[in-house]
Amino acid sequence: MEELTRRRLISRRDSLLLAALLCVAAGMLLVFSLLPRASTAVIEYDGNIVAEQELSALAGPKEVTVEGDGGIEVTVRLSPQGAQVIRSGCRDQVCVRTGLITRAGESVLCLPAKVSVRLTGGSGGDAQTY
Amino acid sequence: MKCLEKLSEKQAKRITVVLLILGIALLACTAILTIGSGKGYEVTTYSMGSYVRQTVYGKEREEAARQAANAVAGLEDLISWRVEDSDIQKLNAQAGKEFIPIESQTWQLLKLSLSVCEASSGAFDITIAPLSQLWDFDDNPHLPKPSLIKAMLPQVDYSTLSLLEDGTAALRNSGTAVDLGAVGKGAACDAAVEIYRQNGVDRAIIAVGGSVGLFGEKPFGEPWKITVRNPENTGGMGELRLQEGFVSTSGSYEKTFTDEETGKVYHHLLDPKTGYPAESGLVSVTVWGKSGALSDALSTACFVLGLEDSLPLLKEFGAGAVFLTEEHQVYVTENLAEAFSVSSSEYTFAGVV
Repeated sequence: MEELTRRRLISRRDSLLLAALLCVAAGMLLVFSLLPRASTAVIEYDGNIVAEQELSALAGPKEVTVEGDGGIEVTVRLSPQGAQVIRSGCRDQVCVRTGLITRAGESVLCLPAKVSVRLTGGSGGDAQTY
Repeated sequence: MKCLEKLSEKQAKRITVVLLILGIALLACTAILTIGSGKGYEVTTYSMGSYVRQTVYGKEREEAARQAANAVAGLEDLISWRVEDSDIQKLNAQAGKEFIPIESQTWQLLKLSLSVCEASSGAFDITIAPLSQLWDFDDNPHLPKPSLIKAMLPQVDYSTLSLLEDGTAALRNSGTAVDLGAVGKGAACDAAVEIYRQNGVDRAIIAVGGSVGLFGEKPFGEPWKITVRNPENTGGMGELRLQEGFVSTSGSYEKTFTDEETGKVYHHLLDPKTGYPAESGLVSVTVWGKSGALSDALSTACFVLGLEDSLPLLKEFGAGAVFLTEEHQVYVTENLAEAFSVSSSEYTFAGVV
């Protein structure tokens, strides 16, 4: 009988390499999914997210202006340090006076405009009571 | 790769199989972690003058959240004295006249509120409307004339509110009126949690303004983490780790105004007996209770009563509290001692009470 020459699409050794690569990739994916999410600033108007920014991805301050209820314009400055409402057309200016927020779970609200900025990710609580 | 050349075909095959199994196992772990725990459905609506923020987990989470948001809005339409044709507006309009039928939800809330009014000997009084409307913290905060405050005091009297078993209610005197502002947000949490229960949701958390309601348990027995606000800024000064229950806070920092003439700062937590903002030495009280309405009512009562007099009241309702004093001290009731920890250096833990 003739000896059948076995031809493989990939050699056994190449299969091994591929399997090894699969393991490394799967391992990296697992590690990545376990890492806590970086701190993100979420700007909402009337409950809808209008802007989301991962703070660590910023090289420097970034300003976002949102128009809220009653034509009130709220300007938020985002930086790697945190978020701050720097200008608002509202009467009370409570949002501006709040100042810089830096930790996950903190938020700045402009109630007349129905605009909010909050920081998520990291070790913030599930909710805040006040 | 020279090392690979040394392996025989058989060995290579075995190692490949092992690596494949390992790789698949790792992918399965990742899948379980990200999908199995289920992403919570987060939604924010606006009711009762505050943000209503929900995070719901489980199969019918979006539907449950939608229904819960509606339940909160519906409750506001029933119990707010500002809303036209609300049960409370009707009740106030018929004060000194006749009994009117009200929704069972309103009736139950009034009943619970009255029990806290009685137990606190009026430190908490839902007929505070004549005073709260006079000070008008929401629209026109100002210092009222002392003579006007004095004139309103006799009108504040929860004992003039009658609830009959047939579901009707009445205020005996025409000058008296009900304002449920101090329990509304807690009651809203109750309404939402009931919706979660009816929909068989896995677990959920709702915050209506600063009142928080919990439903169900987190995986691996992890507690829910509720931060307690630092009166000086919007961050947290401490953390409550809870498996269940409802939390509400009354704080003097929430709504204030400064009188131009005297420079004095007035806050919105009025003492029903004096007609002026309560001065009990506390900056805030956070109450943990079995229902949202109860925790909300008790937090107001405790702020007015002060630390010492709050303790028997809390015991009576099986509740717990965290007190922040004007001297930046923190006191915690025994039943919360394990659950609470201070996270800010501005506040000092002063003892378990």
